[in-house]
Amino acid sequence: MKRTRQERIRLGLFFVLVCCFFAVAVARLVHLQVFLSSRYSEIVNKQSSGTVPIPALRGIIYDRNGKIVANNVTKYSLYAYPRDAAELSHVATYVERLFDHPRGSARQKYGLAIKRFRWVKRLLDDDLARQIAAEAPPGLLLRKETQREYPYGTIGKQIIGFADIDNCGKAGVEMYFDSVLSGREGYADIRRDGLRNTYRVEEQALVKPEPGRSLVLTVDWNLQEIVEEELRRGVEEHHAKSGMAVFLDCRNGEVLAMAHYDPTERNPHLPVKLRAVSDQFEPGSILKAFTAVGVIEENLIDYDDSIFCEEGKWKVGRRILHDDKEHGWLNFRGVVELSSNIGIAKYAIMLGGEGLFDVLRRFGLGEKTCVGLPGETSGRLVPPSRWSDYNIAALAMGHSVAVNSLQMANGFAVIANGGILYQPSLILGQVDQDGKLFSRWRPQAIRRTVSQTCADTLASILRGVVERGTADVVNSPVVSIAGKTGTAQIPDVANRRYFWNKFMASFAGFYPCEDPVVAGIVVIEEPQPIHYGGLTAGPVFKRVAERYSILHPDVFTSPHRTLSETSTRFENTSEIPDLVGRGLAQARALAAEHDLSILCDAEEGTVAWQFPPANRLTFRGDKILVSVTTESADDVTMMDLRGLSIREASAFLERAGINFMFRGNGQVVRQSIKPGETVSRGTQCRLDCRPGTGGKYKAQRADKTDKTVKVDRQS
Amino acid sequence: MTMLSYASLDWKLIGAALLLSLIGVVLIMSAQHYADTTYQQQYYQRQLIWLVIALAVFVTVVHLPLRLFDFITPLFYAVSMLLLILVLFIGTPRMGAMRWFSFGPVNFAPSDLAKVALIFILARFFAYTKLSVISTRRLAASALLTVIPLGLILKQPDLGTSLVFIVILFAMWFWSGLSPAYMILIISPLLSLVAASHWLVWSIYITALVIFLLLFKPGFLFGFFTVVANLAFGIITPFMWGRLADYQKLRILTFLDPGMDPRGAGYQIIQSKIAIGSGGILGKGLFNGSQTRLDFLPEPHTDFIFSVLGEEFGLLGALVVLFLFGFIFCRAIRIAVRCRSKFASLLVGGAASIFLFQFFVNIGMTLGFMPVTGLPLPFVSYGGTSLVLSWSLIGLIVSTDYRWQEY
Repeated sequence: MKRTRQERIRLGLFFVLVCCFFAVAVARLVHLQVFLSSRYSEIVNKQSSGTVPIPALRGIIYDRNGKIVANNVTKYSLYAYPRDAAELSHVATYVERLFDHPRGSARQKYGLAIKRFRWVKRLLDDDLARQIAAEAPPGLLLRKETQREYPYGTIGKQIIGFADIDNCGKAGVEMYFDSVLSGREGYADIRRDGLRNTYRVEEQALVKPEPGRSLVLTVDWNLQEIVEEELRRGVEEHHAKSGMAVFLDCRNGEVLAMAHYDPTERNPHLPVKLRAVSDQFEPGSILKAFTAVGVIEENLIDYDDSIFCEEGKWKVGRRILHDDKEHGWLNFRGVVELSSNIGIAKYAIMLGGEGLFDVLRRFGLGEKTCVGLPGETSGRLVPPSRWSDYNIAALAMGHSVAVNSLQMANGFAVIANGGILYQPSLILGQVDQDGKLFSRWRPQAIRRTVSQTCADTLASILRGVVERGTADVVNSPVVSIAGKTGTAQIPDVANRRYFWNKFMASFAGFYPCEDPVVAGIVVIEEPQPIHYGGLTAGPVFKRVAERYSILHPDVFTSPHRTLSETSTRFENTSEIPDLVGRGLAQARALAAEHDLSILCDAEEGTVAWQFPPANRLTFRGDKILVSVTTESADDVTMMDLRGLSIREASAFLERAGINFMFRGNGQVVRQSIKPGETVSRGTQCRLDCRPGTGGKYKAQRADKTDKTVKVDRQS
Repeated sequence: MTMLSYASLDWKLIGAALLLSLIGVVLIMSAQHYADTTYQQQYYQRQLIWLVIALAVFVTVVHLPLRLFDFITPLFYAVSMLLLILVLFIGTPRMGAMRWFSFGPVNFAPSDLAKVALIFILARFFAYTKLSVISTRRLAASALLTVIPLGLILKQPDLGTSLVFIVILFAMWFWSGLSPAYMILIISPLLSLVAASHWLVWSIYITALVIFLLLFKPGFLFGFFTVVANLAFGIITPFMWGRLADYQKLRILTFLDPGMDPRGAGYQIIQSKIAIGSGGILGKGLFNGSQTRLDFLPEPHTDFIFSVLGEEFGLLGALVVLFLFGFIFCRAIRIAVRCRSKFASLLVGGAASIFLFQFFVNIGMTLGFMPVTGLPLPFVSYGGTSLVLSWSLIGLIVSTDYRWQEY
């Protein structure tokens, strides 16, 4: 074929067209693959790779004696990941059968779908998890998760707070120290595909999780339990609205126990706040102790001089001050011991507003203590625009100022320890993975608030308050307590006045007064009908002090003051004899000599174990738990635990090797294994407990608050 | 059958096509290497079997004399049309279309056969008609031959493939000597439709068209119909557009510009660009294309196989494939020009045009400057019929080249 001109044009045109396209394609390829290559590579990474977090093990919380108060338990969670339609239908059927759902409802309920991850149920019971592991169809899988466990139930729970299902601290120490406890999450690289939901874990590249640090609290769980028990008893005895208590080591500011008790609190297992640090109140007369410090320090008094207390009525400015009783002439000591408003007001006016304000500031009022709990209040201490005599008088007797319980307790610790204000602390230190204390947090002195002599003088006066003054009922034969009572009217904020019939009763003090160790405060809100601090809060303080110093003498380590040396004071106490190794009859006789009785799990045999251990002091008439060796080491005879405290009961069960769980708190009222039954070690015993003493308040409370707490010895 | 002198076959052309087919097999293997089912993982084995069948067909075609094609063309066309009608009734519905006959595991799309048949019938028509190149009867008759299969395929429905038929018609017009100016005038109503988006643009367009007609003088009747059609399209379009629902407008716009809808229609294009772009100059290596492997790339073994190539073998791999295609086109055009039989020349031109169009649309789609149509890449994409068709066309080209002196 010959080519005409037209044909050549046609061919040329075609050729140009093809070349154009190739040019465009090559240009585009070069553009994409050379110039934009790095950008597109980045997009590939971004859209196809990711990380999955690997949770870190949360730190354990110990009390100062090394008891574990917040622990991790491994639980299994059930999830579905069916790979095809057959697995999906098996999974759905199985789940319906397992949880008794109506047929065909599981897919919708859990959103089950092929190649989709869905939680079915998290944190299963161990038995159920074992059953599922044995029989679950493919596509239904278990994942290990850790859950927080609090072996002591509600005891101290207000301090520890709690962590949620994702192990994130939501209240208390768990929240405040969440960053320390939670550790650092690890990461596993994953590849995500275009369908967005399936994950293919890359072979390697894994950042290991860093477990959280364990914390040791300064809190003594023995004391905490006593405080909570006694506070509850106090609130219930006096039909009060609520109560708060703080006890700390006055020598270094370490908090030993903190609690509040509110019978209307909805969920004691998930306490949102600790009112002892988060609630503020007008302290009333207990603040007079601080006023007195100012007066003493400025040398405004001669201890022999007296001041006229106006027979109970004194006009200051346009208002009238009242005393509870009509006092005449009182010396300074008398003013504090009998808590005369008029007397202390006169001294405070001598001291002057600024001077008084300065003293209170130095005691740390109006400032957060930063003890390490969320939601702490700073209280309120602000100078008035003008210092009138009435303003000074009101402040001197603890009105127009708001504090929290911890601040007050810490203030009394200053008086107790000779004048130094310590930073209250809740954390004793951190523990590493092997349980070794690797950072001890030193007590921090903030400032010297008052001179040693001044503090000692006041301490002796406060001892007088207990010996002769408003707090004479607090005077204990067991331990020498010093302190100050307070009975403050509660402000009626809405009407800008005080309620005439609502009181905040309090007792703040320290013991033993010769060489103070523990300082503390007990506050009872609206006790009825008796409203005096000395008669309501005081006895709570006293009982706490007595029980703690007797049952745990080893807490007080001052060598020159052993309990035996001062045993003359302990008339109604008795030293526990060593019963181990003796025959039962002999042990009974020995106990009787000490005015003690024996509670035993067998009729005869040799004593192998006792609680409390020997050489401790206890009250006369108390019971000693005794266990006897039996022929078979695997079988244990159950003992009658009814009427014992949880601590005593758990001591026996630990010793006997029986797993136990208890409901409620107080005293054991029912036990799932009957007394006298022989069971093998490792069986489970459930104990139902009620608060110790009777009364209608308690019965109601017990029903509402109880939740099951489980203690597994193996964990 | 005649004895062939194998040495005088165009081995370079055969080699290029074979190389493309083998690259295709490797890419299909890579694309489905991490697929969920073994069925998918074995796609490349099936493609290999198809390649063997395709080569057998190729050998057969090369052995057949050109006269035979000439002779059987009307029958071929008739059978194809019959199959196109049959598939609408007894085909196997898949993805909402009646497009395939199923024979066990093998699917056969009669539209592939119809493409070849259309080339044959048009080649035969243009080779032997005595009508003048620009006669309206000639245009109308050839258009009618195209519209029959086109209508049947639109009925399936399959828009992408039906476009191929229009392209074949235009290609055959072009090769048979119709001036490109006429072809522009024939598609001018479509231009009018686009220009009508703004009244000013449209008036300029119409003015230009009239001036063009006056200078070119295509004949009164032709010119008259062109103007009327342009005016009609231009005037109706704004009304039609105004009456479309928003989602319909959106659908048309995203067809033209997929970037408007990155999660829907544009998703495939964007992922394809990401795949090719991230490949860089040297590529990520066989089986290492993360876009392919992680299911970001849709249809990696068929429509988007070029993206797999770009990702795993980079710019170099892509250029090699472009070069092979370019080589095949040049070779085919040279053969078409050289051979003495007009029928054979038109056949080869038509075959080259099909390759070129499919190549153009597919590569353009993966590179993101053409709309998504679902046309496979010849030789490379997975698909038995497509492979057999491509190789039979290659057979035709090689055979024509071998017998270039025959009339």
